[in-house]
Amino acid sequence: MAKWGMVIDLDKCTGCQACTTACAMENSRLPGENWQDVLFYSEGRFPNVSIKWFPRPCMHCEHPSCVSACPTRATYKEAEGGFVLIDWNKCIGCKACMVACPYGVRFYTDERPVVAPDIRGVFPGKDGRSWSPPYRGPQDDPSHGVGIQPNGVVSKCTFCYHKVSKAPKGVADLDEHDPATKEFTPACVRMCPPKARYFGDLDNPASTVNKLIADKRGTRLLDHTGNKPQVYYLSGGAAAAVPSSRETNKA
Amino acid sequence: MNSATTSRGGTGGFLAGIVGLVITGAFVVWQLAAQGHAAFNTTSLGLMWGLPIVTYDFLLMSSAGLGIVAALGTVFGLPAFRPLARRAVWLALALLVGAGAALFFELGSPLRALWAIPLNFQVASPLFWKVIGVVVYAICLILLASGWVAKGADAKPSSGVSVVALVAAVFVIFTGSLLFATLSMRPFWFSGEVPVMFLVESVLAGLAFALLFTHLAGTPDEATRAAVSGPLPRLVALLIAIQLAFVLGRMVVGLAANLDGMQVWQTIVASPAFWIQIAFLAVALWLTSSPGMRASGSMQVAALLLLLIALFLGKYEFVIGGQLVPLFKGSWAHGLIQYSPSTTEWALLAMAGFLAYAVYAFGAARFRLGGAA
Ligand code: SF4
Ligand code: SF4
Repeated sequence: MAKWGMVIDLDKCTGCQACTTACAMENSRLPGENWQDVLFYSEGRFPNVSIKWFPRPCMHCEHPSCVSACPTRATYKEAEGGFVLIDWNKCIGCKACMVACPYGVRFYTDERPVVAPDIRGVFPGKDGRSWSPPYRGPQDDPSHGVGIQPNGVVSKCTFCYHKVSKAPKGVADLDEHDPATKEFTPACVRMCPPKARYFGDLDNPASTVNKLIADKRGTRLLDHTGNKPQVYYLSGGAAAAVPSSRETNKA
Repeated sequence: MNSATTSRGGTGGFLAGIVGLVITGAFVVWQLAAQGHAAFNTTSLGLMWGLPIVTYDFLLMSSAGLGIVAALGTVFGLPAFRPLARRAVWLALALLVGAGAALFFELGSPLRALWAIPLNFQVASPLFWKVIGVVVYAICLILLASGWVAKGADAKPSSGVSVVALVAAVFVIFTGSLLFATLSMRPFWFSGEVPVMFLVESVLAGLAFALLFTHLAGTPDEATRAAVSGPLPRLVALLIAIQLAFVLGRMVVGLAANLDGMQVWQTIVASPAFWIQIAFLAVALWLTSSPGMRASGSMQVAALLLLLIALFLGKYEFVIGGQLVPLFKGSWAHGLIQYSPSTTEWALLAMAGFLAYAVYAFGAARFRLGGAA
């Protein structure tokens, strides 16, 4: 049984947001409600200001606090693959999972838009969906939180469940450069120009993700919360270190 | 129905409550139908639970506190609580209905919640257990209201139902506190003292509601007069002192702590609402602990009103304060999150209040809520 994980090399990431755009197109996201985002942080005061960027998907935690907050099992961890997913047919929109996620990766669309103007006025949703994007992917699987988000429920990154779950069994890595696995690779990984993202089986000792975590001392975000993300970050010091939330308090 | 024992102004109060409910309810429904939850000032940037959840939590926890007040006389044979018990049962029911209304309009899919929570057995979630506790508690309240309060002066409460109601009320308070207290990524909430704090403030709110409406009902009998001017205000004073210790203790620890997330205390102590809360608690403490003030009904009404406002402000500060630090939103949400409730959120608070008041006034007009159990 695979345990899918992602490695993000902060030394390579250029903050170009290609991953964010690819995810938005793949998953029919509303502008600003980015399941995968590259966050920008500014530190210091003029003239000594630095800007940092930090790619942030859902961590698909090994011990997800969102799952134990959810009263309906709408949020669940799939045994095969370790995906943390949302069954939109069970979600009641209580937002307990949003409050309980340490990484701010969840979205509730039935509210004021994150960025103006509100595009829902231009492309109003049909059949209870939050909007009708001009381009939409063919996949629609509400029980795994895949497709256009309905109103009144919460959504988040699925690790491209609709692709990854169809990958050949036993494969160690999903790599966009390997023709055999390209179509099963998450959109953000596939689209990353400087190859800052890697995706593979954390339970397979031969996987590239495991080697990278071992060789470059991969770290996990907010490890003290006990969530144990399945997303690891690498930083050799050339780029941003994992930011702390204290930085949000800087002027 | 005996006019000497039913409450003053019950029918007029009921009509006033219904009028307020219709006006505020129509506004809320209109806004939600037109804009969805965009009518609230909550967003995915970090402040997910706003004033509607504060309202829901305050009313639910106060209802549970009232359930405890109602059951103490029967379960532990404490005579001072008996004159308040009937009114406390009915008030608990009224506040529970108000809490349910606030939650109904806040949830994304409230009707789905009716089957999705009980049928999916997510035993790891405090919210699942809270809902189980609320269902048991509501059934106990209905049994006490129909089998005792509605049956007239000679009826006696079932001790079995009272015991279950007491246990269920404490269970609701503890499970209600757990979702906050267990979140290690939000240090403002993550703490072992939070369930105890919830218990103290819930019993305090329950006692305050029961005493306030007993005073407002007027013409108390001798046992009621003795209870509301003697042991019960003294208990209120003791609980206010403990509540103040919790608030000030948490403030000192929060300001001194170096942990990410605790910086929110600097914002809280800079807000007038925090100091209004402290001042109201202090004044209520003085009014309920001074023997001279305890003898004055109007001073006690003032004390209890100040106390309830302070407890509501405290609930607001707790629920909102824990969400002010945005977790990994980068420049989408720089600094602490700014939140103030929208007009629709205020209207929802008023609607829940009017609904609770209408239900209470209906009972006050129909049943004998005063007098010893
Ligand atoms: S990152 Fe948040 S939403 Fe994703 S699995 Fe972890 S706790 Fe859940
Ligand atoms: S919003 Fe939906 S997924 Fe999140 S905790 Fe509530 S029911 Fe579960």
